[in-house]
Amino acid sequence: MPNETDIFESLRLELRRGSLILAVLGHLRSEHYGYSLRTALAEAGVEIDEGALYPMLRRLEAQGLLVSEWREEERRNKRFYRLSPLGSETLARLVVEWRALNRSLDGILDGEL
Amino acid sequence: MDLLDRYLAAVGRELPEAQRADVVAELRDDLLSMIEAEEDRLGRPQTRAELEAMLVAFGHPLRVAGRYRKVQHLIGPDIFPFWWAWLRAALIIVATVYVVLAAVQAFSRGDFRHFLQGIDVSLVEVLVFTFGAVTLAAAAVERWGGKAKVLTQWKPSELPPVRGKPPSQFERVLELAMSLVFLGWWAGVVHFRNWMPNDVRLEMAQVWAAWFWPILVYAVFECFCRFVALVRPGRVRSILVLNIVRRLTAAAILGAVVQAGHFVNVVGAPEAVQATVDRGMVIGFSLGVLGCVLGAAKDAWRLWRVQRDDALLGQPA
Repeated sequence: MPNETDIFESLRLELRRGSLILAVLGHLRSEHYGYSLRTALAEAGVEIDEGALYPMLRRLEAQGLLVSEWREEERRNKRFYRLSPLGSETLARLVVEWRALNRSLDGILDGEL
Repeated sequence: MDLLDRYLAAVGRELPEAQRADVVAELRDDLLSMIEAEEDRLGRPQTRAELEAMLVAFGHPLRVAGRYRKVQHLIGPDIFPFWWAWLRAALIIVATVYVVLAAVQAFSRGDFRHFLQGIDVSLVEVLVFTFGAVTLAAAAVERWGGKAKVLTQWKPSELPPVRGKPPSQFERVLELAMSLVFLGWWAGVVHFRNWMPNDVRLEMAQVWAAWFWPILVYAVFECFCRFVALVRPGRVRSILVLNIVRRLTAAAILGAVVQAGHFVNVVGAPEAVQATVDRGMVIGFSLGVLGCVLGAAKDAWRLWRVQRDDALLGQPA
C-alpha cells in the first residue's frame, strides 16, 4: 500500500510530466546541446531525467518540431538542437493552451485555497 | 574510461543499428559533460566508485536503450482493460469446458475419484496456453491495429444488464426458511412423503450415519449465517467471512461424502436404476464441491475488494 509521500510524489511527477515538453520547446528557442539544456532546465527549476530527455529530443525531431546538427565545441562533438519553424508555431499554440489551462485552474483553485 | 566505454557499449548493443552510433555519441558527450562538471565541483578526478555510482544513477543500459524503442509496451493502457476482460472470460470458458469434458470422460469410465486425471493435457497447461494466446491476441491488436475498432465500435444497448444486486429481504427470508427446513429434515423433525411412483422408495445409505453430527452442525451454522445476513445486511465483511467458512465447510463435507460413491438405496427398483442414481449423485455432489469452492473464492475476492476499497477511502465498511 503506497504511503502518503509515495502518492504525492507519483501525482507530482504526473503533473510535471505533461509540462516537460513545453519547458524543453521553450528552452530550445535558443540553441542547446543535451547537457546544457538539462542544466538550463534544472536552473529554471525543471528537473528532467536524462534517460527521458534524449529520447524526447529524438521524438520531437522526428515530428519535425526540432532540428539538430553535430558541431565541435570545447574539443568535443556535440549535437545541438533548436526549434524548427513548425516547432515555433507549435510552441506558440501550446503556450496559448497552457495559459488558458492555467487561468482555468487558477479560477478553480483560488476559490478552494 | 573503461567503465564508461563498457557502459556505452552495453547501451549500444540494445539499440537499433541505424541510430546506434548517433545515440551512443550523444550519450558519451552527456556523460563526459557530467563527469567534467563533477570533477570541477570536487576539484579532483572522479574515483572509479564515484563513476560507477554516476552510471548507476544514469540508468541500467537496458532501460536507457529501451527509451529509444518505438514499442514501449506489449499492451498499453487503452487495450489493457480489454485484455483483462478477455482473459477472465477465456479462462472461465476454457476451465468450464475442461471440467465438463473431464466429467463426461469420468462418467463413461465410471470412476469419479480422479476425474481430472482423465484428460491427457493438465488443466494448468490449458490455462497457461489460454493466458499466452489471449495476451498475444491483445498485443497484436495493440501493435497492428484494431485498437480504434475495439475502442469505438460498441453500443450501450449491447451492454449486459445490471447484475450483482444485493439480495432482497424476501430472498434472505426465503434462504433462511430453506435452511431451517433442511435442518428440521436432517434432525428428523420434518418429514416428506414418498413421491416415488410404483412403490419405489428412497432410503439414506449407511455413509450418512457417520456424517450425521458434522452435517447437523453445518446446518445450524448455515441457519446462523442466513440469520446474520437477514438481520444485519450492512455487515458486509462479516457476512462474506461467514459465507467463505460455510462454503468451504460444505465443500469439505461433500468432498468426503462423495468418496463413498453410494448415497441412497433405491428400494423396489432395478439395479440399473440404482447405478444411474449413484452416478448422477456423484456428478451432482462433485459439481457441488466445485460450486462451493468457486463460491468461496468469489466471496474471498469480494472481501479483498471491500478491504482494498476501505483502505483507499480510509474508513471502515
